[in-house]
Amino acid sequence: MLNKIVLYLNILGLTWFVPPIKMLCGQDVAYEAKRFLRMVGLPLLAVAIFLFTWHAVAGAVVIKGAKLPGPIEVTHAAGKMYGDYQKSQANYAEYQVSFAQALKDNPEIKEAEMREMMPYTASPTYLDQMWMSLKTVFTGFVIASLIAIPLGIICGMSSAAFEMINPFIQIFRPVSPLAWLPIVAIIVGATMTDVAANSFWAKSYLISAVVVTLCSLWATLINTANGVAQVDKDYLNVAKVLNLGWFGTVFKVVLPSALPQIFNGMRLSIGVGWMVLIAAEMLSQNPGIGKFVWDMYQSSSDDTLAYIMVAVLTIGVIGFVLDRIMIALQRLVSPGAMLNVR
Amino acid sequence: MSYFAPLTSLLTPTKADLAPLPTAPTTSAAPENRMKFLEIINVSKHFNHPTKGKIEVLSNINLSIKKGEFITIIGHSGCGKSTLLNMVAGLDLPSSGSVCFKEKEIMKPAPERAVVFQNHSLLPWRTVIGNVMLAVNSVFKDKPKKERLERAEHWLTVVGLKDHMHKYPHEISGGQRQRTGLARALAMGPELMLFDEPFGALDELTRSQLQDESLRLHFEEHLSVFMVTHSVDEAIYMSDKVVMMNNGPNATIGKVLEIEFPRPRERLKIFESAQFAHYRNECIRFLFSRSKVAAEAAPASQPQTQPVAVPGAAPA
Repeated sequence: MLNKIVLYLNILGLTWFVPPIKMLCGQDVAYEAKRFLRMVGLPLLAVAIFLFTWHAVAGAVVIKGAKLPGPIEVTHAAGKMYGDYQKSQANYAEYQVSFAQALKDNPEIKEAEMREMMPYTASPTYLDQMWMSLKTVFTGFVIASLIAIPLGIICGMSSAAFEMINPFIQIFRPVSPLAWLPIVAIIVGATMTDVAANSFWAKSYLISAVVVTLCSLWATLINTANGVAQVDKDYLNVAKVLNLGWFGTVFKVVLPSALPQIFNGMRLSIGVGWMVLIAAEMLSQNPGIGKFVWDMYQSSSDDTLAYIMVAVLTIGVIGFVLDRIMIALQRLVSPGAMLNVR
Repeated sequence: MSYFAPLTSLLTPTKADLAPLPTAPTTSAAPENRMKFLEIINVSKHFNHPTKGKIEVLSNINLSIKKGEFITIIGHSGCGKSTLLNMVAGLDLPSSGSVCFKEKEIMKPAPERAVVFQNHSLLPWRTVIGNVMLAVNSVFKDKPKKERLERAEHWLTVVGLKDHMHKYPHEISGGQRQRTGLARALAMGPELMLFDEPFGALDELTRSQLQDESLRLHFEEHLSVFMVTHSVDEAIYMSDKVVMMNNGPNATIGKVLEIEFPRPRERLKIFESAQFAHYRNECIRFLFSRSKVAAEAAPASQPQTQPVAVPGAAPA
C-alpha cells in the first residue's frame, strides 16, 4: 500500500510528499527526515534569499520617482487583483438577478434580445483573463496534436513521407510567433467577417490559438515520427506474423510502443505553446494574460509594475504546472511505470 | 531398389522427392501425405551492403520437410540460418529460387506458419493472455469472443501458464515469457512451427524443461517443426534431421544428419547413449572443420546438398 502511494506520487512528480508519508508510516524516520530537509529546505532557503535580495534592491532603485515594487508590493497587488475578481463575481451575480427580473417583467421579450438590450459590460478581471489564456493555449495545442500525431505516424512509418515533410519542418520550425501573427490575422480576419466579436470563436481568440498551433506543432511532429520510426523491429515482425494488417499494426503495436515519445513531444509542444501564447495575445488583443500585460504597460498607474510582476509569476507557475501534468501523463503511458502501478 | 536397401535410404530425401509432382496435386483427391509439405528449392539470398556491395548470404539451398517432421538447422553465427527461417516465415523473400509451402510459393507470413521468436517478443503493454489474444483475434476474426478466449486459455493451460494469464511480461520469468511466445504461436493453429533459437537466452534447467515440453507438444499435437539453433545437443535431442550449414557468406547445406532415436524421447536415456555421443561427434567435427575452412578464407564453391546417412550401429 505504502509502496503504491509512493509510486503514484513519484509518477505525478510530487516527490516532496514522499518523505513525510514514509515518516508517518514510521519507515527510516531519521533518513527520510534528512532527505525531506534537503528536498524542501534547500529550495525554500534559496527562495528566501531571493525574496530578501529583491526586497533590498527594490528599495534602493527609483524609477520615474516611484520605487521598484518589492515582494511586499507585489503581494499587495496580487491581493488587490483577487479582490477585484471577488467584486466582479458579486457584480455578475447581481446582474444575473436583475436580468432574470427584467425577463420576468417583460415576458414578450425573448432572452437573446434581452441580452442585447442589457449586456454585461464589466471588463474581465485577471482571473478571467488567465482562464481565457488557458482555453486559448489548450485549443491551439489540441489542434496542433490532431495535425502532428497522424502526420508524425505517417512520417515514422514511411521514410519517403518523412523526406517529403522534412523540409517544411526545418524551414517553419524556427519561425517566430511574431512573424506568423500578421499572416494568420489577415487570413482569419478575411475569412471570419460575420462573426460577432464576443462569441466563442472571437477573431482574436482564433488568431492566438492558430499561432499557438503553428508554433507548437513541430515538437510533437518530430517526436512522433521519431518514436514511430524507432519501434522495435521484433514487434513489427510479430505484427507481420500475426497478420495484423496496416491499421492493426498502427493501433495495436506502433502507437502503444511510441506513446511515451509522443507524449514527450506533446510536453515540449505545450511548453512552446504557452510561451508563444503570451506574445500572440499581446498583438492580437485576445483577452488573456498577454493582453493584460500589454494593457498594464500602456496605462501608467503606480501599480503597473507590480501588476505585471504578478502576471510574470503566474505565467511561470502555470507553465510549470502544465509541464508537470504532461510529465505525469508521459510517465503513465510509459510501460514500466504504468505496469508497476497496476 | 533392392530388398536389402538400408533403412536410412527411406528416410532421406532422394532426387525424386525433390522433383515436382507430374500431376496436378491440388485436387481434393490427392491425399494429404502425398502433398509436398515445405520445400526450399535452389534458394539464394543476397543483401546490399553499404560499403562491400552485394553480399550473398545463402546460395543454392535445397531442403524439404515432411509433415510431422522436426528439422533443425545448425551452423555458426552469421551463416544465414535465421535468414532461411525468415524466408520460410515469409518475413523475407529469396533473391532467387523459391520456398513453397504445400506447393504454394511463400510470399508473406501466414498463420499456418507460426514463429516463436528468439527473444520472446511479447508486447510489454499487454498481459500474457492479451498477447495470445492478439494472435487469436487476428486469425479467428469470425469466431465469437467466448470461443476465442477459450482458445487462448486452452493453449496457455497447455504450456502451464494457467495461473499467470493476467500478469504482464515483466512480471514473469524468462522461461514463462518464452512459454507465452509458444502459446501465442500454437494458438494460431499453425501447421508448421518455426523456432528461431527460442531457448537460447534461458538458463540450462529452464531450457531442458522447455525442450521437453516442446517435444511433448510436437508428439501429442502432431506438429511439424523447423528450428534454428546454436546448440548441438539441443539439435540432436529434439530433431529427426539435423541440417548443418557451411559458414557464410555463400553458405550452403554442408551435411544432413538423420537422428534415429524413437519418440517420445527420454532425456536421460538419450543423453547417456553411445549413439548420442556419436551424433554429437559428427556434428562437432563438421562444425569445427568448417570454421577452420572459413578461417583460411576458402569457402566451398560447390554446394554440397548430398545428404549423408549415418549408420544405425554406433561406434563406441
